[in-house]
Amino acid sequence: MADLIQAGNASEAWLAAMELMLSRDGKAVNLNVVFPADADGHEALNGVVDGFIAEHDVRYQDGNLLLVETVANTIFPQALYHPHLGDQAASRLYENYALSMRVHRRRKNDKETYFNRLLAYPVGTGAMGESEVKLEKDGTWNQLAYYVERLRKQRETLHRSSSYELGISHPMDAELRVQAPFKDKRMGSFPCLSHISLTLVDDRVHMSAVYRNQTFITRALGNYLGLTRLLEFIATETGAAPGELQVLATHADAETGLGVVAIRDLVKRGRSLIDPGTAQEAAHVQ
Amino acid sequence: MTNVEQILIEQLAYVRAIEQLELEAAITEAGGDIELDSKEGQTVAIRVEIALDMDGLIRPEDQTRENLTTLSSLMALIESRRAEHEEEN
Repeated sequence: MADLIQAGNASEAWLAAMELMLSRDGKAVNLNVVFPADADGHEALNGVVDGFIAEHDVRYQDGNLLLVETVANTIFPQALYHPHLGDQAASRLYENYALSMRVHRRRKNDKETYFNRLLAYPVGTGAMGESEVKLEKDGTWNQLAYYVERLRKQRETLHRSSSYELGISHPMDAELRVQAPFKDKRMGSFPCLSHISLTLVDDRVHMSAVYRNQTFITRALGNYLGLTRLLEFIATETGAAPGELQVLATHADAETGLGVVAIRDLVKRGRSLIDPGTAQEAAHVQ
Repeated sequence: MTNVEQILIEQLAYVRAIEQLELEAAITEAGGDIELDSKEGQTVAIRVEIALDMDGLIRPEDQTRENLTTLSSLMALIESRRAEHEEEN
């Protein structure tokens, strides 16, 4: 049976999802988590999760720890985006990210990232016909740049239209694909994030992301953070406000295999950070 | 300031989209070293590699958080790899 979690921010959403799964067998199917992208989460929770990751020595194949910011960086590299550059901000981000990938690809494993799939989706050659879409020489397509530009133009056109002034809602959408048929053939391997949908309504851009499998200790909080930052980028570049972020995990895993007692303690400590009253009550019950 | 240090600071200023003087002031204020985001570290590393015209300077095993997330460690890595590169050629 599907579950819907509506929360005030990413941290609360993650905690509620963990508590739900821990109240069962540690897993869920069609777990749907929704929160506003412009609400600040609780940064201290990231530190608690990072502490758990370090203590349990959970690492990427390349040997680096699976820290929340590291996971978030695979979806959106916040440090490379500088909105104060105005019209040049997005192109500077794309330029620097493409360069960083030249180093990243030298790794023995882990040669791809989610953000790179948005900037360099492997379309192949000769498939686009007379399409307005332009591919790079290597057959990749910067779908993010394409849809940001398209949404921005559509939004500006509607601003000028009488229908917009009358307050009629015109939803516009875009589809960002991560999973690449024929290229991504290995079960249980990259990418877990398959697809991102964008919907622009009344000057707010909303995002829906679909994971075929989402692990909650090692990925989900970083996923939420990265997706939030990606949505903020898209909103800034289209001149809209960030709206709601929905993340659907068709299969969600609280990763109790890392130690169910330790994970229950992690969640309890997280809850005490966000809602000290609840934690005191819990401590009292103990 | 060494040649590598000069190039590294120029490239980091570009990646951060700030003036070089502003970056140098921040480094001084922080006591001579600053933290880098790991993606920022990768980007600056490849930009320095291009500026030095030394393709492949950064090796797969170099891509650790320890090497890429402070200015001093990135500089030490690049200096070390450049010395090896020059010896080999």
